[in-house]
Amino acid sequence: MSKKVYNTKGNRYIKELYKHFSDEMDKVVLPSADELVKMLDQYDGKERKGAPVIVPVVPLKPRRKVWHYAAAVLLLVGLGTAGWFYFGGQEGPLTASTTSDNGDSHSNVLPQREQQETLVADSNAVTLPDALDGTSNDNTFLAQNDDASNNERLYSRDHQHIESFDYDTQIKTDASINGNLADAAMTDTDTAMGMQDGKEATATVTPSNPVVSAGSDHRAVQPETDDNQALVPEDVENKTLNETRHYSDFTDPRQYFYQSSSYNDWMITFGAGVTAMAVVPEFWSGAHTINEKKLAHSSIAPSFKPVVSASITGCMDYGERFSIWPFLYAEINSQGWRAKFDSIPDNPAGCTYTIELKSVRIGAETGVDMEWLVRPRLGLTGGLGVGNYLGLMQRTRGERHLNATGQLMPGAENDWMKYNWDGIPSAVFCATGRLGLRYYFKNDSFLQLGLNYRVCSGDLTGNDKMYLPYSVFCLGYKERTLGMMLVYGISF
Amino acid sequence: MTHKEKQDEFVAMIKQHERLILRICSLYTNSCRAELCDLYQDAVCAMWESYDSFRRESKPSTWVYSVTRYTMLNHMRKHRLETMSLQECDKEDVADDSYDPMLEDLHDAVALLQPEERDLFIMWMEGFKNDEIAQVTGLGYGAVATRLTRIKLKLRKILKESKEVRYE
Repeated sequence: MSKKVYNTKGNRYIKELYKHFSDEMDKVVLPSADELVKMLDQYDGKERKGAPVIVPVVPLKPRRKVWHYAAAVLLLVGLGTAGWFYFGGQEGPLTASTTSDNGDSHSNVLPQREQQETLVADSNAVTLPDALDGTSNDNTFLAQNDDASNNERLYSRDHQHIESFDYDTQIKTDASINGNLADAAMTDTDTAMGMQDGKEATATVTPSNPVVSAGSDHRAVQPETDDNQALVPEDVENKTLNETRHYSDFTDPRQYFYQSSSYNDWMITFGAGVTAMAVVPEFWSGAHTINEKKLAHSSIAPSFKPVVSASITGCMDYGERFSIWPFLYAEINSQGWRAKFDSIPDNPAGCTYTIELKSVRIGAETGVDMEWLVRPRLGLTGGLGVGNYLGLMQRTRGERHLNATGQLMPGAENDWMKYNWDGIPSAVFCATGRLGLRYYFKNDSFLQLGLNYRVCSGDLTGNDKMYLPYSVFCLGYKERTLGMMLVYGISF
Repeated sequence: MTHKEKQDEFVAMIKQHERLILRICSLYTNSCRAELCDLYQDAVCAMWESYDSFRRESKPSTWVYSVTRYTMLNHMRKHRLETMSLQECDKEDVADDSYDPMLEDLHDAVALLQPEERDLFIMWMEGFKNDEIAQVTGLGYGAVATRLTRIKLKLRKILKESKEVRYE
């Protein structure tokens, strides 16, 4: 008996065993070439009974990585689509190129709707800021009312037109003004004619009676006199720093010109909880051949696993134009670990990008992780996860106050990038799941048609409720390697 | 190509891979040496019969492995009740002093593997690359790597336990 004791750690022992085995096999005497020829001649001449030897069909062509390329192309297409959706497919920011008195050209980018509110008590009143004082170099100014028409109007002295944007209908109208509104501010009286909201409008301005009339709609004009800030009451300005402003939130009856702002919201949350996950019955069809046996697999495998998870999420919100929730998530559960990145748009129509990496223990897990048994396959899956999430939410928010021309207000610049930290302890309860159909291809690519959903309660303040069906159609790919599985997909 | 040329070419290929064929026969069937020669001849005959269908689009070793593996699986199905373990074979044909615990370790460990795991293990030990293994087994490249890792862990565990039992 061999007395050698091998270290059984590592693969070296296995290799030594195999080498020893190979050496032993080399000692076996096999037929020579001549003997083989004789054997073959004998075999050829012999009448064989029964069925001929069945030779397995060996795939002779190398596997092509078509789906790798397809997945990459789809990823690029998806990214492009998302880019277009977020950056190109919506109305761009209101801009106005103007020329100052000294001939310098510059462009003002006016903030978005949530960043521009003009609040007036009288729905028929409209505030026209600095352009009327005749001293400003800016030839563009904003007048906006918050009445039921929900319109925003941009009066341009240079271009002599009125742009009107209706947030309800998302229709932008552009009407030329027959006359010069600027002159109206510098002369005693002037009238501007044009089309506004689809009807003929007349704007009449006099210094003593600053009224702009639009058709039969008489609007009070409150000329601004003190370099862009006279119309912002201090208490209002301070108050708005910690508010999430929505158009309908402003009910203050006082008349003022609210000059603000742009803000960034970031929330960072950490939490731990227990999630119970149930996998509802799955049905598979298709065939996978193992040792020449066709296997079909169906599974009714409810599973419950304790989960400890941590996540970091943030909301990038830029007005109504860009809002997305990147979501980093890590989890350790009774069956392994999982980490994923979700990029969930804050509306159901956007694309969701998911990259998920998780440990794989085939055989130890049920349901989805048994998919390897069946290929190609059509799976009907469904799931419901319910968990709670306790954590402390920190918000950082920066604000800047802009005047109607899009310039920083004097005295308010410091608010920008000065973050306010609101520690909000939150307990959010979420139910997530997926209902849908997936079709799997041989190499773990899949198409999914179904609904992913995430329904969350609000935090302690009752805010931030989220009812979010976030994908219906998904293209994805799974890669299993080194005990891990990488899933990436695009959802639409 | 004449029959003679084809036969010469075939024989040359077999001679080149004869040890591979033998090892596959041994690991699949756990047979004694006397029986191994018969299995070897069965495999060679099966290859000869299907040699015309070998389109040379894969490496000869891959084709040789595939046919031998299939022949051995077929043999095991037919002779399931007649199969003798290596230990029994040794008792009959081989003197006790030639008993090799390492070979026994290997055969026992391989016998504990699932059939598809055995395929992967043998091909890995024979130096096939992952894409070649994927080609033979129909698995994805990633799946091959994953399962090989798992198989190695399983083998290490089996071998460690067998060592502990032996030296207790």
